[in-house]
Amino acid sequence: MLAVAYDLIFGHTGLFSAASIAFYASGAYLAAIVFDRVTHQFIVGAMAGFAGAYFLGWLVGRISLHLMGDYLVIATLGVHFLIIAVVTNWPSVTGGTEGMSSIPRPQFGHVVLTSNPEMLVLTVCLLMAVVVVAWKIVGAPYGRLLHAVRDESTAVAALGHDPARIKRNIFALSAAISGLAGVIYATYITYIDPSSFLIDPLILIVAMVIIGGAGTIAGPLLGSVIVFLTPEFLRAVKLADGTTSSFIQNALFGGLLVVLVIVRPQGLVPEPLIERLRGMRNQLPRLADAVVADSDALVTAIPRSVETRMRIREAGPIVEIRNLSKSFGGNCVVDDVSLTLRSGRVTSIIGPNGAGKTTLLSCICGSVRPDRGSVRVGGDEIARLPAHKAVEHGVARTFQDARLFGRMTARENIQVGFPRMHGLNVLSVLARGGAVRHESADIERMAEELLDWVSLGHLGNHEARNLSGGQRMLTALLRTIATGSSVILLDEPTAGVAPNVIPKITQFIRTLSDLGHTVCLIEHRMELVEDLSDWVIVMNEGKIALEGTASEAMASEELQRIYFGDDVSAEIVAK
Amino acid sequence: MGFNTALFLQLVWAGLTAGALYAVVAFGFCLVYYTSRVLHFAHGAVVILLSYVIYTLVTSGGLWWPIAALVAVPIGVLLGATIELAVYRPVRRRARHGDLPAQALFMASLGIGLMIVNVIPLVYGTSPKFLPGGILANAILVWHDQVALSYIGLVAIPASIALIFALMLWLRVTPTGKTIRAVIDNPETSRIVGLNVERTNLVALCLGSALATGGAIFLIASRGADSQANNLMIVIIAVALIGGIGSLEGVLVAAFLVGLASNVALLWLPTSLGDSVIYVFLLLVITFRPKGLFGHITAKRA
Repeated sequence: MLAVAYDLIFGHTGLFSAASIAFYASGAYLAAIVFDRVTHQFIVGAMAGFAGAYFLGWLVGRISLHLMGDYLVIATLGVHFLIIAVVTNWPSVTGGTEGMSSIPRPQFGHVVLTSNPEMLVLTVCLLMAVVVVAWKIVGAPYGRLLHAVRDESTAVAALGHDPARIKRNIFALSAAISGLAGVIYATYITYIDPSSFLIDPLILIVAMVIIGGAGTIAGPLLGSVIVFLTPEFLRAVKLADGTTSSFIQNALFGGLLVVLVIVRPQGLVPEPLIERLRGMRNQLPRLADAVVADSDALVTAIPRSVETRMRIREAGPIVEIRNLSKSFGGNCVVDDVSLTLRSGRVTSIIGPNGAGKTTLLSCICGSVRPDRGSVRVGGDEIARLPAHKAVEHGVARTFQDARLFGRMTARENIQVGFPRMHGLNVLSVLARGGAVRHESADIERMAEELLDWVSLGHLGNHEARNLSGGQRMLTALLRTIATGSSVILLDEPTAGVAPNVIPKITQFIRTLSDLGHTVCLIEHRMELVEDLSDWVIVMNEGKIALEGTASEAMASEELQRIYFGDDVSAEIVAK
Repeated sequence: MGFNTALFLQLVWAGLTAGALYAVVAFGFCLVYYTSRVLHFAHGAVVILLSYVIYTLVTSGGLWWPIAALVAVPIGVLLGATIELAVYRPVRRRARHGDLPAQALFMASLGIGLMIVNVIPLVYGTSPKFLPGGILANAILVWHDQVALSYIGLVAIPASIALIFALMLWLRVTPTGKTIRAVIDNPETSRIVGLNVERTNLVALCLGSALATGGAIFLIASRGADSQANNLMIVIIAVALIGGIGSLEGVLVAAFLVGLASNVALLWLPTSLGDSVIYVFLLLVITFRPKGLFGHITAKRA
């Protein structure tokens, strides 16, 4: 149970936490206290353990989940030792180092489960319940979202989901499950003290997850079977006795963990099995297919359904940016910039490297918080809102490096973009399974249609990390418009894209603005800028140097001077 | 009640002694952490293992303890080299293929630590081992014969400070030392400039493990060789973070600070809560000042 809980945050969401044992202990102690003072009924104690651990997990998550990597491990390790220290030094409540004894076996009404086989049945039932919950969560769009947070949390924010809240929720849930495991432990052994909760088992949990395979459901189960049956096996074969067997077990699994990390980090669950379960193909797309499809440079006619979704009915919002400024350290990167983006128009921002274009874009959509200034979308002020809130107001962005969720398929990537799905709420997933499945199927269909629109339908099942630059960018573009935002900010949409795909992207952008979207893009390819733009803004050194129609801008001397410097442009003029 | 000066001084002495131990071990740990960016959790296990090695050399080998310590140094270096070459390097190579779970290096290091700490009791049993007799166990009495300044402290405190200052000088002056400092600052640029980052990681790990021997000596003299003491690593990590990532001088200051804080706190707290002061301190630092006291590489934020 602990392994499944751990895999939820580790394998699926990419959070390496060391606090599992602390939550396990909390659940155990909370239940023991309830049994001691309130009632012997198992359900009450179990709920206390579960809810208490959930709350604790939420609290710990609040203070530590914004930390990355090493720091998260350290912080959670500190939490573990702190909680154990608190438990050890509160004798009036927890019995201190003596612990709490005579914890009653589970009692339901008047029925008490006294024998071990009965305990086993209870434990297995609860485990099954946990596994079913985990299975449903991972299979639902929520699971996809967890993987997305693991792979690229900035992209998740840009699509309108709050990665911090997602992490906190799954962390709290994982803590609650760990707490539940603790409750079972307490009622099984009927005695707990601080020494039952050392940090060493944590490594076993990690080992279980890795050995079985992280990020799967079967993995932690397989891993825990292996880890726990081995010492029994050793004892049976008389290779070890009671005291040394735990040392041998730990040493063995420490070694196995090391070996696996080096040799096969995916764990022991075989890959073809995983893939078949997920209906996914892992080979590189066949080159022939790619050439044939991508050479179809013109976008096919928009499917009806896509057009209906994408067309903006009335004149869309106007985005008014006033006096936007942003400095990093002493460096003023965006200096008092004001501009207006109108719907149905493509506005391009060009300028030399370091002019502040990407920072300006980031400020508009909330990835970066501007120091001063305002950004109004249809009258609403969004300048100080974080990226995921900006999407709620209809502003979405893409990234220069696409930032697809590598381990998901192209279609799944697009599916993450759709907003406000029921499948994103854990309670909905559990309680309204049918509705969620229905909705999921709809969204899957819509994602397919989007892919077909740009002639990438055949790539729907391929992992995103195997796609070419152009295919990736197109998928990322589709993912962004899936959010339904009317204001689309594109950061160098042709970066890393092969020349034969550029006309397709150009046509895509043109179609977006024809449908009524407000498009703003940063570009370096001048032909594209001339082709597409209704309005061009030239930035230099943090300020807007000039703006005008595409032809005006291209012809201006000022532009040449900005890009090429004084001497060269003088030569050009002379010629 | 009044302020019990004798107790206070005694605790200060205990704190400084602990600080000396932490300083030497943390310095070794930080060398590895700053150069190769791996939370070398196995470092604590290496220190403990080396303390058992010294114990064996003294009891079974009949060596005088300083000689035993010197013999243990190359053993430590060998251990460190093995870990780097057999485990960390292959894992790093795999990391470039991009399919490792989060924190793979740390997991490998946890695995190694787990292995070492569990093999030791199979050979030595679970009770802590101390050096037989020996002058290190004695102390001189000062302050109206109320405060005992242990010999181990008298040796360890100046020795650790001297050792660390010598190391910092070495880092500043020698070519290898400068290479290490460059890699600590920026491994990418170091690689571009032609420095052999891989070899530097190896050197750092070996050096760190050599330092572990110093820690082992202090450990066995003050607390005994004990494979069940499982919170050494978290204290070392706390020292590293409080001192500040990237600053080796900070480690020295933080080590003594942590040692003093956790011992002087015993004036007001019960004995078992002493170390909790460290954990609270650690959490506070992580939350409010991730740079630590002197650090200049900031924590990455989600």
